[in-house]
Amino acid sequence: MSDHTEAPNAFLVDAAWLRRRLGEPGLRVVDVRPALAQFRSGYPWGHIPGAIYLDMQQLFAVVDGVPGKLASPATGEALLGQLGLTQADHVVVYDDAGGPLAALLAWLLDFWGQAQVSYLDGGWQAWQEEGGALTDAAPLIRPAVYRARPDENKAATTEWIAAHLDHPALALVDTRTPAEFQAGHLPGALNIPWEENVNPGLAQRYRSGTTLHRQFAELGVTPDKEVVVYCETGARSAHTYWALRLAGYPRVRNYEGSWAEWRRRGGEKPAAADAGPAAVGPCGLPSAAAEPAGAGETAGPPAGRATRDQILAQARARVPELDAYEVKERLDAREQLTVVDIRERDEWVQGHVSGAHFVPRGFLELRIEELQPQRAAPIVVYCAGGVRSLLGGRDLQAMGYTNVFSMAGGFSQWKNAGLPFVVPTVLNEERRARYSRHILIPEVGEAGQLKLLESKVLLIGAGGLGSPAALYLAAAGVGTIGIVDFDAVDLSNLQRQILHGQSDIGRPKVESAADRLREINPDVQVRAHRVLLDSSNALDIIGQYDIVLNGSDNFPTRYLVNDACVLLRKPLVDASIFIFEGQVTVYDSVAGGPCYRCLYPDPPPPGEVPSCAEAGVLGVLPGIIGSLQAMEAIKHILQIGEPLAGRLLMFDGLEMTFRTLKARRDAACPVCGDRPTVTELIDYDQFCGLPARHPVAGGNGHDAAVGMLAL
Amino acid sequence: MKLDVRGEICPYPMLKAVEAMKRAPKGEAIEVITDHAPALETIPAQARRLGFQWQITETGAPEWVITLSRPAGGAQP
Repeated sequence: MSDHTEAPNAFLVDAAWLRRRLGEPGLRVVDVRPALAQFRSGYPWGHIPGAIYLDMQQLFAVVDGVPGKLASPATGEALLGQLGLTQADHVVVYDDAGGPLAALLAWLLDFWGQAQVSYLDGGWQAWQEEGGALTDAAPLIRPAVYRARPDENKAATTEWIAAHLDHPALALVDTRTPAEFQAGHLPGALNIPWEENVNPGLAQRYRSGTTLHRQFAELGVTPDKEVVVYCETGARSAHTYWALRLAGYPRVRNYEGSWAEWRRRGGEKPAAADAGPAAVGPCGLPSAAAEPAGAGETAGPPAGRATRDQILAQARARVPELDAYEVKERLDAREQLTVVDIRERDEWVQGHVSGAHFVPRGFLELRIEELQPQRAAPIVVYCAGGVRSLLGGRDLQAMGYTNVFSMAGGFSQWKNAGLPFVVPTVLNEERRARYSRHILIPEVGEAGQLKLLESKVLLIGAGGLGSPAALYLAAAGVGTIGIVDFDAVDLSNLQRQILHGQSDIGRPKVESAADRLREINPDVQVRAHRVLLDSSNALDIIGQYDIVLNGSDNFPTRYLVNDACVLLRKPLVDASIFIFEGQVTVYDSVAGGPCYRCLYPDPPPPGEVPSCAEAGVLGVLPGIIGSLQAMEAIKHILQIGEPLAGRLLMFDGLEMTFRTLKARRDAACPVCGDRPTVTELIDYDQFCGLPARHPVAGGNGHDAAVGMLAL
Repeated sequence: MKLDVRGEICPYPMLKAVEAMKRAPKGEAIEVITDHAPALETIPAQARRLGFQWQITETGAPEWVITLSRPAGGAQP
């Protein structure tokens, strides 16, 4: 036990204490040792009786390129809940010898508001040395609901540090090895390796609070300071977080993102001598390399630099404030108010003001013009507590915005006032990585990616056109892709139908396609419709989707799909190909555009238009045209750009030209005209003068080239 | 004896190397394969504490093998 009375209540416990308390209700023992099969070491090979196993790696993830970042509280809540933990429990953590891993979990629980956290001094090593019982039986776990209530005073973010770098009361402690420190560190940091927290021995027991206090104070880290500890990923520093707490330090924060994040977010270059605090931002963080670190480094701001309090006072004097109720009233009055939430992502995802735009502080100046180009328009900026928003408001004023307000008290006040807020649907870490190139595009972004994931696209045919379209739509994260095709893969398909491979010959195309698409992107739900599309089922199938891509190869299907889309008011991305030439257009009768029948009221006589099977097709041609269809579908889903509605794009592969022709709706069109005569699906084989029904098969039979011939 | 901790980040390479040093049969060298640069500092710091010597070989970009062994006739921790 710690000999220091100011230590947190029973934080440090020894094996004897734990033996006495094992089995008490509300006392939960958590083992975080990594399992090492080759040494038969870890929880499955023996642990403290009643202990549960927690894989700490599940709580951490790569976030924005920074490894070892704390997962969102929601992820943590789910994991801790599955382990049967609640916030009211007294949790005792241990790792192999009393090191950073258990300290990290202890810090995390403390940060999230755990009622009581204890740490087995010396860990599993000490438990064994002191003859503690062990078992390989796992306890019965009843899942519980865990609620994290983060205490922001126990953590430091990159932004927080950047904003406080010049504050005289800030002490930055780098807990890595001297060599790591010398290779680069935060400006003004002191190097105190975490190993100095413990006594020698296999079991790493904390030094006494008194000893630790003396060690820190000798280096200038005194209890009157606000101490921020960091290392590479926040684990070793968590060990020192507790060393400081044991030493009686009242204000300690763990910088969980640590050097990995600081370096990643632009701190590679040494600090410029004249960089004032106003220049400090997440994209221009200073750092120092091989700087002699002494106690005097944090003595105070040099002359000519403003302190945090001065900066805030200046901002407060210039940026007018509105309280939460005033903002709510203005929004309720339907005032044209641009509300910008400048907090970090992990704050945003837990809830925000309805209608607010999410622009983290570091991107505020870069993105504000997209949101509100007019400099005189009213803008309300808010953060968590009303401090960052003052600085953000000041920066907007510097850009010429004249009507900027900071919301006093920030989102905390909004919530405390009981005003309504929304919790956003957001992408998880894996999806943010998978779609990162989309998310970077302002026209797509996270909101656009969510739209794609929620969208449902139907492909008519999994052949030449359907193949590239399906591949790109799946890769783009279109959440549901339906494929109608009755055909089986044939050797002659493989020259252009890139969904299928040699081993698929003889398989139904919908099956081969579904396998391929799931392999590209497991986010995609593939619905296989292995049917002959006809008047009896077209409305049912098409009705399940938001948009249809036509890759069919025959006229009955083409008219059928057109009529069904008009009747169901679904947009149709249509295309056809012939040897070296192709064409694409969008039929969107809802948007007032023409339909296929406006352009081609009557089918050609049977046999007049040669099919691909008869005339041939260059394999890459459907690759080009089908990809254009995918592009149009994605544009439609995202509602961006100019759709090809009312325009026919003609491609000539030999000339390598694209031309667009205007296409107009025909007021006398029998389907989409002013007085339609076709109000339900008809018999399309009969309409096209065909004697027998052709199956829908992408690119196998009669590729429609009527467009080029008819024009 | 090989311990492959590629893809793992602080503090895992260090923790696993410590466990290996504690558990490996005496006289057997441990080769820790890592792609995490900070481990080149954290593992030797622990090796020193446990009375091991170490040697670092660069085997990729980034990839290293840290060979940990007890010095012949050296004191046991």
